[in-house]
Amino acid sequence: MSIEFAPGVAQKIRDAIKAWNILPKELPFWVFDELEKLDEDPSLWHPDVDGVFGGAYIHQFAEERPPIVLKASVAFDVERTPEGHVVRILDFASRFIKEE
Amino acid sequence: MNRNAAFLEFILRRAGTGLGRTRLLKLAYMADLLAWRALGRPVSRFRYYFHKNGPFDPLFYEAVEDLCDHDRARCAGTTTASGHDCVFISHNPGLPEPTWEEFSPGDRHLVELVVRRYSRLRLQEFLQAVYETEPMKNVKRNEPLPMEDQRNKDRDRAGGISLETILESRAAFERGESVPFEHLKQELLGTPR
Repeated sequence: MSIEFAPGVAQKIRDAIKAWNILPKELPFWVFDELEKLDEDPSLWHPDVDGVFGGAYIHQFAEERPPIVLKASVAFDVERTPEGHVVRILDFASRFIKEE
Repeated sequence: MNRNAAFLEFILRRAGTGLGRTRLLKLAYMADLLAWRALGRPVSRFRYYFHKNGPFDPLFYEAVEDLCDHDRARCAGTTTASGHDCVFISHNPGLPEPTWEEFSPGDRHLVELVVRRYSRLRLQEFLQAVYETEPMKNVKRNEPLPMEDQRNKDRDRAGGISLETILESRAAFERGESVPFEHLKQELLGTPR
């Protein structure tokens, strides 16, 4: 697999992972797992949003830690080969919810 | 020249050919709408309300006048094939292309997208698309269009992805700057699980 991050996006991921100390421990692993899954299965790609973005892949996670549930979603915008393989990561975003 | 006038000139230059006044105004509205939805703010300073022919701001006329007064554009009255009188506006090709520094890469991207999508569409089809936009729904004539309600709607639907970051990333890749996947993975996760 030959995927590259834009430097600003790599920094966004570093910053997000630093902020995840109290969030699901597996989250950093999920970020990379999801990108690998996206590379292997282009059907996971979510269609373009009104032609403004190239498209987005959004994935949600949840980890139960009684009495709370930690929920997180990560989103990526990527460039792909005609076959659907991921070659460049153009943006990354993450959101978290803590449910009591 | 004010921002609204520069915005109209940018649309005219990207369209390449002259545009009827109605189409130019509606292209401005569509670009502002996409900007609210993707960037969380408009490109121009127009404040649209529901006029008899759709989104309108009287400042539009001032901006066109400003363009013509500065010789950045030319206005000419004409009659359409269907017999309607209209004002046709075109940029001044004798002047060099401005740098457009007042507009962000996201602004420019969205204006170009709107021009590509709508500048050559038949006017009636284009106006129908304008009338079908969310701010035009449930609004009565002479009421302001609730553009602020569109803030970041596309960005939210895309999970928080930022158009400006995407454009910065593309520029970085063009400069040859990148971080390999495996390097970042190893940096952040250490040895494989």
